Amino acid sequence: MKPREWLVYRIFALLLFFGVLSVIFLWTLNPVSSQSQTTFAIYLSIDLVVFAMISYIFRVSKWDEDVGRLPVIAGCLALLILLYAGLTV
Amino acid sequence: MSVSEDDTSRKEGRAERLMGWFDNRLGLSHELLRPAPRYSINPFYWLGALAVVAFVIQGISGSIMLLYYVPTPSTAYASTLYIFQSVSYGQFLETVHLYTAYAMIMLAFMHMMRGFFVSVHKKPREIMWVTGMVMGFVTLGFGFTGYLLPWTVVSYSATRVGTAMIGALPEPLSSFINFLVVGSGGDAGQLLRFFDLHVVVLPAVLLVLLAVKMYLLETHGVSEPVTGGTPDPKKGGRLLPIFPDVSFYLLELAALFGAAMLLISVLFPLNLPAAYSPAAAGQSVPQPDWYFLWVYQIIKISIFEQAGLSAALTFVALIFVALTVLPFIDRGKTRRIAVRRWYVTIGLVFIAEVVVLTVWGQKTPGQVIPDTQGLLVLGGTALAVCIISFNAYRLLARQPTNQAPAALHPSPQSEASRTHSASAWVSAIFVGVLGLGAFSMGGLINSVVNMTMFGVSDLELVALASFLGALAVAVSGASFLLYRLDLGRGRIKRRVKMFEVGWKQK
Repeated sequence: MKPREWLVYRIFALLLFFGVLSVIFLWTLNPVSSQSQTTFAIYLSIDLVVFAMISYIFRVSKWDEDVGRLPVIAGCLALLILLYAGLTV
Repeated sequence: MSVSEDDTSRKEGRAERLMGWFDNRLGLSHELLRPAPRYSINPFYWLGALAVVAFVIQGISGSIMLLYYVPTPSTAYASTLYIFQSVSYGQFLETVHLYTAYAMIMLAFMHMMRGFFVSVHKKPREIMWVTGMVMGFVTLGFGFTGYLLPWTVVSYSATRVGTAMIGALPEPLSSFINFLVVGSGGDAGQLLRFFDLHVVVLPAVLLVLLAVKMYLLETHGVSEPVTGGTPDPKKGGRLLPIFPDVSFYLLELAALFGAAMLLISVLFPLNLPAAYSPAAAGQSVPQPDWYFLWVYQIIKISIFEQAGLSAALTFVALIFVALTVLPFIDRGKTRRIAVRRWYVTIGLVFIAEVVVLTVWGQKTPGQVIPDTQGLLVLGGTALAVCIISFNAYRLLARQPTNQAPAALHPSPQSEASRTHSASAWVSAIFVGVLGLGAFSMGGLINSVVNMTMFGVSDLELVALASFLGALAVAVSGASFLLYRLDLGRGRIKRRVKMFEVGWKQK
């Protein structure tokens, strides 16, 4: 396995972990609290971004094209910002 | 061959041609779920799909709100407030519903304008274009009918303005729309009509039109690249199956769009305005939502007040009609943007005027616009866009041949690459310079109008001087670039030494 492919698989696993974690967290929210609206939206957004990234990696690998650095870095950065926002709200 | 046989074969020929016309446009004999080419994996090809995603999100959020909303004048506001304050995530739900509605209108507009510029309406996609335009009107109908439902003072007053405008439309359009949306049942009847249209009639019509459009998309496939020619089957022209390849791409776009909508809704939560009452309505300035603001701003120009209203609305209606029947007006075969400078410029002027009118309308609520100001702003915008567009065309059309004799012994590939790069840079700088020119020209007009209307102040004088300076820089920059381009081609008749600084004759 090439180093680049190995990196892609690791990112893939990490994304999956993040996705599952955010779904679990979504189910623990209190729907009556107004503050949890924000947390709900942030964690659902994390889930959607994770899904988009997993789908992107799957799709591009299937087409025998290189996984672009820019989309992966931008996606990871967005996830980090959202995670930080989710934890600090 | 006898005369009767000849007639029969001619009739059959006509029937076949007619069937062939319909088959070419409706794809009666084509397979379904046709694969999509690789070059279509680009968000600009799927703006319409994103509008559908927005429609789905609205359908879901709207269905939840339907559980609580009661469409009568006495309960509409109270039930909306109840959703806001007492339903779990109610405020969030209302905000998402509103913002996805805005996004749907914006995406539909972008989808239409992209289609306009790359001429997707041309044969054989005429019916597809007309269907899309009708879908766009239905989308605006969603906005118009949904705006009244919370029964706030803002929504009630704006809808009153809208329904009053319907009366000024040309007949029989006026009577038909009046029958559809106003009726004769007073406030209660109108609210119920708007509610029915918003949750039953318009979604049903949109779904039917969507089915027609999807079928036509299946028939014709996505449009070919505007540059013409068939893309290489090993590269951009490679066909990808709808499932899972293209479907996954669309899901990615939908997921990112959904995430953006959620975050925007959280960052800018909606605040419900005050409830409608005649006293409150008397104190508020009626203003339609932003997507109708450009039309409203046109009718606020003093020449269109009162008797001129009908003329203004007929003019707006004609724009919509012209856009709808565009495939039957623009019958030329070429789709290349590079050779359609008039067509592209008209599109750019339309976008610029809509943006200017919308922003202007937001800044001048309830104000009647003097004719001269209207003429200056709208005329100035059109003039600025025309100058930018035609000069950009002039530059882009000349650019590739200018750099050819520059290097002494370049390889053809490196020369092409270098020329392309230089061309892109010079074009970008040129567009930037012209953009500065348009901005400063707009600012200049604004300053002059302000000084005419409100008198001369120090601040206005500084602004005027700044805009004049910026305009001078833009004009000099554009002249310099055009002069150097003509210099490269040996087309200069009257030399200007100042513009030849650093120029070396090859």
